[in-house]
Amino acid sequence: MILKDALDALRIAFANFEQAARSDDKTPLQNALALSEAKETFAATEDKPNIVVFADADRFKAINTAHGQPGGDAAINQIGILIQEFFVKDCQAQAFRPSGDEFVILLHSKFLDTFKAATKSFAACQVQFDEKSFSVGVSFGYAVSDGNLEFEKVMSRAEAACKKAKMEGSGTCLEWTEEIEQTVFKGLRETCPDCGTINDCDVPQEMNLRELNSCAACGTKFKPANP
Amino acid sequence: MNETPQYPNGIKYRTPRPRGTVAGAILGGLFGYAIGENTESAIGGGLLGAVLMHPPLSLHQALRQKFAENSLDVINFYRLGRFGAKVLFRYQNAYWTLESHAPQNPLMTTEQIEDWLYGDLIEKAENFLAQDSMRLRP
Repeated sequence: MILKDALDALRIAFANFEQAARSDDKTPLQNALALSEAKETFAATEDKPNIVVFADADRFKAINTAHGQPGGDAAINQIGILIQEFFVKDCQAQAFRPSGDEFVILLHSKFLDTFKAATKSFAACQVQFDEKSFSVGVSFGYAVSDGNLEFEKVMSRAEAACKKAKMEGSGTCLEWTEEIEQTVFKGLRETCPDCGTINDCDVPQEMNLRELNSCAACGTKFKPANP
Repeated sequence: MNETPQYPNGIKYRTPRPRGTVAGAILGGLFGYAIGENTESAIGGGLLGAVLMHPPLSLHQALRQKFAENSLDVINFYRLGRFGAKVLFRYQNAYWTLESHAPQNPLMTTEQIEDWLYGDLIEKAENFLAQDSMRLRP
């Protein structure tokens, strides 16, 4: 009997451990590991999610600057709670926070209208923090799988749509289109080998630039990567 | 299974982190049974396991557990140097922080500092909840 109880306790402990390994530490959502597992079954059958939604908190750096890291973490948690409420419960979606202030939601197309209507609630999410109050907005971009594209490609389309949505204001939700792909900005980064400056630059996707030419601080020309 | 840590003289007492784990007793019990294949061995192993796995949880984990017992959801934990800590938690749809700084006594060991910060943060959480006529469970 003691052995049986001990084994049961071990089984429960192991199940809790497995769940903890896939849970986000700051929100009720799942983490990057869970997302990497969920993508294996994405759009695999008709009853599986076939839409990737990419969501990003707006002006998050400003929140961190104004309220410190705890304020930023409070905002992340509040967004996670709302995503859980509106999308996981109401749209039967799977939701993840792979890193930072970015969220990924896997959705079935039959819930798309409900989802789009709910995104409006994210224009200004109120956060009560240490007797102060501030709001944080979220922008959404999504892409629908055509059944052939790899998950990573659908996800990068959703991310591009989200970048475009951010330009239009918090709570905006846009579907990926070819036009968006051309107009959205792409981040390029190069560390200068001479002075160590990290050069960050956002360039329009349509310019088709793959790398930066020179260091903005010291002017050193960067060697082109292999074509 | 609490024990009273001896803080250096002059340091105000704070409740330390709980000691002893059920997991240790379970693993010890299984090990004991594997060796002796009888109930007595399992019990002996369980006791040994509980003793060997005596170290308390980390400050972060101990706080998370204690706060959760009182329906306070710990969102994150921040170290403020060796002697300080801050905890962010959610309570009634709002977010709150509690901060604690242990006395900077050179005789305080790392374990004593962790225990002191735990007790102090629990005390502050208790005061916080007292404002809403709630108390932390003993």
